[in-house]
Amino acid sequence: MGRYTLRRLLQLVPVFLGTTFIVYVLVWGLSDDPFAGKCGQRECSASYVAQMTERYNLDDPLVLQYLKYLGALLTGDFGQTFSGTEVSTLIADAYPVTIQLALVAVVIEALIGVAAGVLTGLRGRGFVDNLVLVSTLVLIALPVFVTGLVLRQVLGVELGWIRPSVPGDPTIGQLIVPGFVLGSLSMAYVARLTRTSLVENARADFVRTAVAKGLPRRRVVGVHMLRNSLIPVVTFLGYDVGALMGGAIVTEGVFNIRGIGGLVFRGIQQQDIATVVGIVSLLVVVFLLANLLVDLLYAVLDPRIRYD
Amino acid sequence: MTAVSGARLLEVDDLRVEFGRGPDTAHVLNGVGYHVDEGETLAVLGESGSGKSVTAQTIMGILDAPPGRITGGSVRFRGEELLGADPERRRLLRGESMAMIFQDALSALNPVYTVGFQIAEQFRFRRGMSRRDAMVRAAEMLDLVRIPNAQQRVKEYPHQFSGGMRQRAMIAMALALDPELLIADEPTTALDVTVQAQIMELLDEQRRERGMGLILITHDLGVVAEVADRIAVMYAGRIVEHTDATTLYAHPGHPYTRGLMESVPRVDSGAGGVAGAPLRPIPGLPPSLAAIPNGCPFHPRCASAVDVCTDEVPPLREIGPASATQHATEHQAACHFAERFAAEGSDRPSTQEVVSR
Repeated sequence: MGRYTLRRLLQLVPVFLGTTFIVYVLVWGLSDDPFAGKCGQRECSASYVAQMTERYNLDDPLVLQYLKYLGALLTGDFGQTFSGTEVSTLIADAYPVTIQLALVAVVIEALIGVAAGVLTGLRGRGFVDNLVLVSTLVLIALPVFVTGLVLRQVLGVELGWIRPSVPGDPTIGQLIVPGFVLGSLSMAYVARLTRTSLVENARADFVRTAVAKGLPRRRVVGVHMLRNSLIPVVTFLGYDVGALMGGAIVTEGVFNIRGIGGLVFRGIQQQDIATVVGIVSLLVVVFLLANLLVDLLYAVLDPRIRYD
Repeated sequence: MTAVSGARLLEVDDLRVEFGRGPDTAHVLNGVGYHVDEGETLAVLGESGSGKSVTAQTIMGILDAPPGRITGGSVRFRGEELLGADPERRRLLRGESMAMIFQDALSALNPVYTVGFQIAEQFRFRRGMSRRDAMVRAAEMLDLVRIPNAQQRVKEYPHQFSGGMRQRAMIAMALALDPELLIADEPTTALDVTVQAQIMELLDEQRRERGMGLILITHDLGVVAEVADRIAVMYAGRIVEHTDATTLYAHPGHPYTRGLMESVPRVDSGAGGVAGAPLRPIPGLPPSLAAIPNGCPFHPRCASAVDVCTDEVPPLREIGPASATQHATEHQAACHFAERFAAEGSDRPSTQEVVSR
């Protein structure tokens, strides 16, 4: 497994270079005038343009610009926004809350999703099964902003149970409702995936063997059925962590959370090119690492998957 | 134990099982009856879908229900009625008194746990052993079924075993709690011929040593010829013939049994069969279990069928010794003309020739 991990880590290098280069070219190379509208109604002054050209190496060929940017990036320098703020400061401000929110969302979707899936998968047809199937279908069908706005309105405004807008440095408790909203879609998928997987495994030959061995029912279910059924669920959750770490523009917007999603969104809107490139580069790395983690986890869960 | 002394080890009587409901109900078992005594091997022979495995699952109490439904009959283990018995009582019988091995050991073993873990489970949860002691016992079991380097192999996963080794591990698992009855559901079907012989030898040896009853479910005549004391032939959820192996091969009383024998290739030249002789497969297909033909269920495929066959279901009845050479033995067949077929004998080689090849 060690060699496999190393090989996979090395594979990340070209992927990282490729994606960041594409992003860099797309934002810098394709905009005719990066400074359009940057100085209000007026044209930007020549000194300002010269300063910016200097700061972002805009006189160099695109590839050289990219390499210089990459070099800085590798030393931890994410560059500066047009207004001169360090991008790394922006990230440091916004990322913790995004990570917290993502973890809260994953925990909620894992707990509720798996519990609902196990409940229906074991019980079979009946009221609970129908309830879960219908409610998950509703969650899948509803766009996240609807779920978010409804919950904010009902719980935050009408009932006053939560603050409709999450404060700057939120506690875990204040992130539960936004986390639920963020995780609701995946939670529905997790519930259904768990249910299907359990139903499939309930008829598996090895479960029959376990029964034929005269093992107690809870042992058959808890050890022989669940472990096998949860393999696809765990991998799904792993990928979801990677995706959620990329920020949640809608959920952050609804609950006024100043996370990484909103930061990228504003960066794109305001054409703050340096912010976009910096954050996207970081998110690429996070996503790649999450994927690697899932692949390694898969091998741990299922011994048939062998990487060496 | 509520065992009745003098009772048979296992007795199945008029067992009836249906699958599904409504007009599409499949009548999978239509009055199956057989028995096994200690130290004895009963072979259950028949095509796919004849109900061999469902009978075994019903005996073990591992029938998928629903869709399966037991509609009648009885299964008695040492005189104790099992159908309708307390589920916990039945669970305790599994593994301890009766165990089962399955056809495809790769899918029958849990892929995510080591072979040792799966054998040790029984020692841990049925014998209350510690994890460590149970693993030691598991290694001993692997050693018993002659898996080389057992100490090492207990820690391996099923996919790291070869096909024959996996089946050996299955057998080790089934024998772990020293059952009195072992049901082997097509234990050699998924294996190649040389390995088949080894597995059969192992099963036979363990049966002899432990004095346990063995039900050997198979569709392979060659496999049963060597080891079976008695053979029950199943067709469409019924026993159509039941006798000892010698009689069955020499004097098959049911045209279906004869058809089975004629559809097996021969490599040697015996009294009746010639190597390279054309095979005579049984024409047609087994009937749909949702629409079993009236009368004898085999009549649409039977070359000798006459009017009475389409009208009356032939009961399984004693037909007696067919010839003087035959030792006095029970021989039952479910055919209106069983005596005639039995007297004709097989135009195929006798058991001895099959056995000695």
